[in-house]
Amino acid sequence: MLVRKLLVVGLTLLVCLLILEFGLRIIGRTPTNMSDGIYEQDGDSFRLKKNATKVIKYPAFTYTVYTNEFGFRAASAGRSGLGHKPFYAVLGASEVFGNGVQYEDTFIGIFATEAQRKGMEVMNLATGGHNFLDQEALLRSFIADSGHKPSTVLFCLNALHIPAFDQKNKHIIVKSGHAIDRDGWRITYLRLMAGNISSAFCFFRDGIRKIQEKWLEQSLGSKSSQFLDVYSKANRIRRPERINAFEDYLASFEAYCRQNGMTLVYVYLPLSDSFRLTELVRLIGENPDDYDASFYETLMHSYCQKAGVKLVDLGPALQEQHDEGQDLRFKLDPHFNVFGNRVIGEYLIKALLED
Amino acid sequence: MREIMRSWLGKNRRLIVLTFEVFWLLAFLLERAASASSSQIPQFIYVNF
Repeated sequence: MLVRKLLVVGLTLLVCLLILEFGLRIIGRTPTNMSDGIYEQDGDSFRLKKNATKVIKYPAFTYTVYTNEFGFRAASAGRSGLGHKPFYAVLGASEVFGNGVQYEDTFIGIFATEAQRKGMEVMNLATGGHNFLDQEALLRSFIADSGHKPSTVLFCLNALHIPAFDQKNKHIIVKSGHAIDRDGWRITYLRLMAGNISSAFCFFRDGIRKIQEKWLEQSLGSKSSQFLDVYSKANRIRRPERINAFEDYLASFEAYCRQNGMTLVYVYLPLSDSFRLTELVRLIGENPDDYDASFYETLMHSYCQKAGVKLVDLGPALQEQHDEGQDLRFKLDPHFNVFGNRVIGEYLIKALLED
Repeated sequence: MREIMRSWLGKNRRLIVLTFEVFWLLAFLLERAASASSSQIPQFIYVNF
């Protein structure tokens, strides 16, 4: 009896979903993406595809990604126009890649426009999800394969990546252009594919996300604990031996740059939510005294002073905007929004191109 | 076949109509709630990929 009822409900729901699917498509609400993702397999890790064009639609934002002939994010797909010009190579993760904003609105895009006026090009090697070691490997393979050597390397660091300085992406599988952890990749892939092919799936997914955006006070996702943990005074990155190992890593990268005649500049980028750390820690009922948002900034200042390497610290400029009540991030995603990117881009121009 | 279908639909009519109504009511409410204006949300979920 129960099985029969469940069968009736299941069949009715299936018919309803089909009606919804057709209805949404008729009114122009197509699924998230109808094509492949932007990644390709790179050994056990991943990198951006070369010469790709892709419109990325998420509940939080919609933007277009173009990659050049080397597989780096650029203003347009295809040839880079690098020639024999001197150029900056920028290393970093998703916030440097410019998640959520058009290339010309990313801080690298803003910086590149000004650099081009001064006869320099900018290659943005940053890739969402990459750690330092992935980016270093990408830089090394780019130099070896293309024969191009940057005159300056901008190494962008943040509080999420410094504690993971010795980690590299591995066990990554790329399916249909999407980079997925090999452990349990089938479920993630299924969800991605559902978003790619079903308008009805996107209707419910986006509807729930929009309700979260508009009605919920606070939602701590599974990655939130990682975000708070990096600022915890108990985090193992604060142990002297970890700090030494981190500084040794930086020193070895500096030696590599020196050997290749490349000037190295570190760029410290605070996470957008670090300015609200005390408030967020209180929200989860913890003691703000157990957390410290300034640790990584202080660490980089002290290291760069010792090592004699230039550091561009975006902390004060972003803090000032935050204190004035400006939104630096997307509502549904902590990456920097167009305004946040503009603040960073203009600061980089002042710090690197106007002296 | 047609007769079997008709009889099956007749026997389960109430459950089918109820499921149908609940589904479309939820879809309608979801659409309304998602498009209604309200305050912003400080949510932080780090998505790198």
